[in-house]
Amino acid sequence: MKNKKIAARLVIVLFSICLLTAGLAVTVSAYPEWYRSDFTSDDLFHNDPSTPRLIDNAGILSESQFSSLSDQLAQLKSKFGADFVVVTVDSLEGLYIEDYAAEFYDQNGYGVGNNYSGVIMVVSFEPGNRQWWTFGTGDCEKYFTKDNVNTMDDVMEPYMVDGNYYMGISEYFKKVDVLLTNGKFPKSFSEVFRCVMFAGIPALIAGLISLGSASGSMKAVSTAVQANQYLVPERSNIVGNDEFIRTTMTRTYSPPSSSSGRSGGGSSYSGGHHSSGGHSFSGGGRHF
Amino acid sequence: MSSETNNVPSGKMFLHKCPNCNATLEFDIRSGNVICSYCGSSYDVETLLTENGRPEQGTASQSSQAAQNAQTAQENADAPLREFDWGAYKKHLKREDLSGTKSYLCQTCGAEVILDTITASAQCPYCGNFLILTENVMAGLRPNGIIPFKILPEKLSDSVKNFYKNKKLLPFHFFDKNRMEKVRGLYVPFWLYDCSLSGGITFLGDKVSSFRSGDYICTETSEYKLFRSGDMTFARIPVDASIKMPNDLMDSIEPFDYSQLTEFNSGYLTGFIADRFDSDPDENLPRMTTRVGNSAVEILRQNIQGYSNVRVSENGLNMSDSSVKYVMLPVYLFDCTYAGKTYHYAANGQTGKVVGELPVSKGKKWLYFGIPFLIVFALIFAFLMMLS
Repeated sequence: MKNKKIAARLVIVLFSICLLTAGLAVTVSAYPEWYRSDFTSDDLFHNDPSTPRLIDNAGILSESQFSSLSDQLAQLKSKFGADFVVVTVDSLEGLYIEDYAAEFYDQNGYGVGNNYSGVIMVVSFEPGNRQWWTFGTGDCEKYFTKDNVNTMDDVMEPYMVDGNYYMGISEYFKKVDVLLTNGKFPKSFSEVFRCVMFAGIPALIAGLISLGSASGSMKAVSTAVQANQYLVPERSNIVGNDEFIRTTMTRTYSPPSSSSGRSGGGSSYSGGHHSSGGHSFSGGGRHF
Repeated sequence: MSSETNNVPSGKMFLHKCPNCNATLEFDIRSGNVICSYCGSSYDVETLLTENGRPEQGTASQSSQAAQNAQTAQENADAPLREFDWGAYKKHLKREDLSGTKSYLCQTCGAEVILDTITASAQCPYCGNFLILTENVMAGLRPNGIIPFKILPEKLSDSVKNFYKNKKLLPFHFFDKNRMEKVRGLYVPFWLYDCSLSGGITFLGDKVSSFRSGDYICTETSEYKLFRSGDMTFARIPVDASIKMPNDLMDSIEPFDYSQLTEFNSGYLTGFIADRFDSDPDENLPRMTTRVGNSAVEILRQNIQGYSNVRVSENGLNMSDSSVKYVMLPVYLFDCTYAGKTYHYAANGQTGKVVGELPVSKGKKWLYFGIPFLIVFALIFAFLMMLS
């Protein structure tokens, strides 16, 4: 009886170890086929202009959507002299989406000019982890600030959540067009409203303080409530006697404050992300 | 005594006449004397004689007999001059109707003049001479003192300017001369109360200390019983004795400088209007006791140092030795009308202190709110827009 139990336990432990090892092996070995972990800046190259800028590996775009999005990206390229690349995938194959975007861009030879200027968007349909990420690099990097990325992600998000992927990506790149043309976005109503509120409250306080100090003394008349000035000090004397009654003690729980905090949130941003190709990307993305 | 609409002139009156030319005399604020505006003669108030040719000044011994005469005084103006004594007056008090009017014959022009029953000094509307209504200021109703006017009516505008100097919300041109209705100088009857308080108050007070012990903050509160006792004497607390005078205005023109309080003489009244009291010391006592009570608590509380959260636990103060004097104090009254509302002002005729509620200009209110609002708003808004 006893030996059987021990044997059964041993089998379970061994089986678990096998599973874990297999899992690890799968994770480690599942890099994308284009990925070279020994890629360095010496390996950077400019690919053929005819290399596709829109790669729909996830197969989410219809034919007409594919061609119109390709046209949109091509137009942007001719307008701004930078590469605009969109990749959709079913799996990130073990890479973080930031690394996927940056490495895909470098190792496939995208980018225009000495500093490989361009924008890359990766849309991943990995089950349970659907997300997109966009990076700007070279001349485009400086426009991909946290606020700007947020603004563009805000436009894209509702479409992606609704499953209208073509519109989401297309609208995003329309925003990119606006951003690169103007250098910034015009302020949204909510931003202006926020500024109005932040300025309005102190202004209101300032106005009320000023009004209060000006109107403080308009009523120079009141019924007398005291007669201190009529006290005759030389005919007055005061004696005192203080008597202790009791002491009460209260204890309040108040541990010394610690400054540990954790930031959370649906959207993420990465500035100055370095690819193994050695140059810097900035941008962000969201889950959907 | 009083009659609402009595056609027969019934009241006694008196005019201070110039011994030199028989014209009427008026009190001159600048010199403190009475002067004859006709012949220019000037007389010391104290040398003035009554219509019977006696000096007016009363004496202490006479005033002690006021008890007997308080009642009859009004009927008999020839009675010896008495000073007011509340105890005696009360003893013989008969319910007087002081709200009506009474008619007099002006000794100068012979016109019939109808005046409030309480009038002590008035101007004849026909000949302009100042009449002293003897029965309201003589004998048992003779005030115990008077502070003569020190501020000239024409100097009042300086006091008014001082008064509104820093009142930023005042409408423009509010106190312009053409808006200020006629300034009236009058003697207002006041009670001056003396009283003593004895006994004590038990306060409770805390001493609090706190310290940290591990994850806890410990607060140690020690409670103490603080007994403060003693005697406090208050002297000459003024309370106006006139029903028609607004109490808050009369309270607010305090303080008066009592060093200039002198013996009453009707000569001070000539040239001004004056009323006798129509609200007696008993009726006004609560106004005084409230003030004294609050002050006593405050004075005793100030004696407590080093405790927090000091509160009254038991008030055992008793008032004693309360006494009262009847005095005439100089007051200017004037009104201003703004936006259909009349604003009443009073000024201390001795010190020039002006009091009253000022109207608020809506436009200025917006200005004082709007300008800082706009500046702060514009600065912060511009800064935020630049930042984002």
